[in-house]
Amino acid sequence: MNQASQINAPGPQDDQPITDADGSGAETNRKQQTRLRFGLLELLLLIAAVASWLPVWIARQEIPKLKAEIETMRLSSLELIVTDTAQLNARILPSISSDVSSWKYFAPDDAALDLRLATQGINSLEPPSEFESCALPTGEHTVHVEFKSDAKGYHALVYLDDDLVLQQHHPKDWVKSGSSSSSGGVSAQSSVYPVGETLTLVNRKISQWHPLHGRNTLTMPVGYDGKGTCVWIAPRHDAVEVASNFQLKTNGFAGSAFGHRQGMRVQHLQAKGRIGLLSIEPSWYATLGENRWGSNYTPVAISVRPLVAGAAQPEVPELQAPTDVPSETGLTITIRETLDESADAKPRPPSSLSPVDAIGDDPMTMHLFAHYPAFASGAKPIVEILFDAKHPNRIGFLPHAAPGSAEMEAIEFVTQFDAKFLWRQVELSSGDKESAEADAPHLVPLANFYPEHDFRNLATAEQTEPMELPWQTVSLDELPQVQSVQDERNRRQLTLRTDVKDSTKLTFPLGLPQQWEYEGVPNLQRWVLPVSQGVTGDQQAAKRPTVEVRAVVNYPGTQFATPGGPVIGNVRITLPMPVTEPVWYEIISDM
Amino acid sequence: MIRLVLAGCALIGFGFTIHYNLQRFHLQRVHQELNDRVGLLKIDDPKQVAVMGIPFLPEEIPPGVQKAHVWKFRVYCPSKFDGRSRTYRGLIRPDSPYSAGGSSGGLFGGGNQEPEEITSMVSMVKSDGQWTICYRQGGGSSSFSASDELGLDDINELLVEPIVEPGQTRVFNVNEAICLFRIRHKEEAVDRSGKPQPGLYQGFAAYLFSQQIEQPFDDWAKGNIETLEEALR
Repeated sequence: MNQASQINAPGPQDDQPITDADGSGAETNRKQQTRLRFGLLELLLLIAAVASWLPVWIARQEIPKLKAEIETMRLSSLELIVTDTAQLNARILPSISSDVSSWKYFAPDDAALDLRLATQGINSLEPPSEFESCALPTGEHTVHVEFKSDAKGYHALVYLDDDLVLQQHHPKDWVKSGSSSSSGGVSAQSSVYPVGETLTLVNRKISQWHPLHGRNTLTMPVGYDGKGTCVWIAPRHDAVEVASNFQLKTNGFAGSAFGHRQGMRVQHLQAKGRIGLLSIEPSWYATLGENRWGSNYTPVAISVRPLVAGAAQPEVPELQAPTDVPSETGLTITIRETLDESADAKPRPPSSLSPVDAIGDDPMTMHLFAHYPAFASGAKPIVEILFDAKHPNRIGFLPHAAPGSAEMEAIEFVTQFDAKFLWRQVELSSGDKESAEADAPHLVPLANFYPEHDFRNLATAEQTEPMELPWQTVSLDELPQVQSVQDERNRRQLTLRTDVKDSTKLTFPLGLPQQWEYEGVPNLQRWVLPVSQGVTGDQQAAKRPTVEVRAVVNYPGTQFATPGGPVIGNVRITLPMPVTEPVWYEIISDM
Repeated sequence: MIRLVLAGCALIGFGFTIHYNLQRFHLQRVHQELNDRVGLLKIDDPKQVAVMGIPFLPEEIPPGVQKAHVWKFRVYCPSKFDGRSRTYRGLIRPDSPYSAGGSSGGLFGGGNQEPEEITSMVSMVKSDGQWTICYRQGGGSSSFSASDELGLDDINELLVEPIVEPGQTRVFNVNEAICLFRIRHKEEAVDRSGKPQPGLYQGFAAYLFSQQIEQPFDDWAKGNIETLEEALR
């Protein structure tokens, strides 16, 4: 028998000649030659092949486990693994004290880098614009940052290896807080960072105490400048990037708020009940102490209502009452950077707004435009929203008529949900023109505007139905006069104040939705109003704005009476069209 | 043809074997070096808590520090262990978390659904003449000034009781309270009139336990029960 055995059975044996019925044995032989033969040599080769791959399989099982264990152990070691000598390599080191943080880094020989320290103007967007700096040596070194407080005050110390290279000191009253939160851009594992980019080692912001009861610390929103310790590595010759005064989502913020980086913002909410409204996020300082969890803190809103020529009533962009008709949602506002809607025919989300177009050449001002779709009457208002960095607590409104709009006699700005802030007093001028001192504004209680209502009874009455009192006009002439430093024009300002100095001591009704409870500092609402709108004489009276306030007994949409009695629920400012000068709306701390 | 395929396969296999084994040998060498220096926590029973002491490296002391004593532990937490920590200072007991006239603090973990390894550390750092005790567990930490009465300047006069020495490993049941670290006077404390405080010592202690036994642990710490086992029975 042949030494090779056939494995592709069945088939005849090699030593048995095969002849076909027609005697053509040649074809059968060719078929035989194509069959696989598996002999001892093949077996040995097969064993060798398997044996050669077995260690590979074993090694591949072991290597990931070894790598994971090495990584775990390296976290406890002080090793820096440099994997790219042309870039910055760094890792954070284990620290033995909560006051000290340490990093090991490697910088390439040709790198021109600085190590920088700042203790103020710290935000999460850009490194602070004011800092102390020293050259960062190349090669492998260790940076230690110590932040401590003692009887003398606060101290931020930066060591390079064992040498103190940067330091800042502040007195004890620099900040009143005991806690802080830290972040940084360096991993605990050795990592590579681009040598041409800024690398934040630590961004430690000190939290503020609650201003009224002091037990809780407050978390500053993204974008606000705080005190603390910020240490970072930056390319030496690069221009210092300064965080913009304004916020657009394109700046990297969550949500769709736009406005002052450290002040009042407008949110473009598409939630039920908010469509058609300009939702307002007051400055963090104006509601300091208030729980602002989440990115959509918009306790108040503004409804813009056009009044077309000949119409009895203005039109309302938001839904007036809950409806079962799904299609009824209110008018969807489109926010653009330009007055010209043809330049951007397709509505875009606020996330695509361009800061270049909105902010323009002057970094201190920003203009955005709220384009309303056509109301039933054909009115198409466009409200220019103005932001002036010098006044971060306020925003301006300048209404325009879109091309093709029905003629508008006036535009109303009606505030919504004001009850939250417990405004109960209106600031009026005494009317004594003899001297500026005698003409000092005085506070008039809301009850004085409603002589026919007994506010004491309303404060204690158990309401079963939401109750709004009638609108009351506040004479423009009774409002205190202010003169702008910039243009020396006289304006009138409506100021609403609260009589509650510490809302944390109020007893809110049991079961009141949390959105209506207020825990922040007392604040005020202010409107700065143009008087003449650029006209004089007989025309002036017709072009003057009108101011009205309305008291509410309950929180809007609830049956819960407001603690302490009726409060201002809405303000209505009516501007005769066309309007040439903006009105300014402000909410500011009144501590 | 088959011989060629098998031979080629074997040759490639040998090539890969050399490549992977070189890589493995290199990693084993690094592994051994690191193991010698900082240690590695080996888990035999994944349902038990394991604590290993990590050597403290003098290079870890940052500049500006006059003196430092540091104890570090690597802790394996089984799934759903959800570690809680309590620290006690002032007058403490040598065998329980009960403390009198002192203060306590706490840290909590993230409710680990999967097994995890965390690092715990107790450090005593002298800076500007003042001793600060810092306790760190995972990403959280708490620190406070140490009282002069504790006498950290002469630590040899104190009884220092880490749960394990560097390089050693101990395992615990998940329902045990683990006293990771205790440092105390050798003599019982006395009050201002010189009267002894039986069973109480000036000191500091750090405990680690599972969230599942948080309530009985706190009862034990308050002195409402004599032993933790009493509450768990």
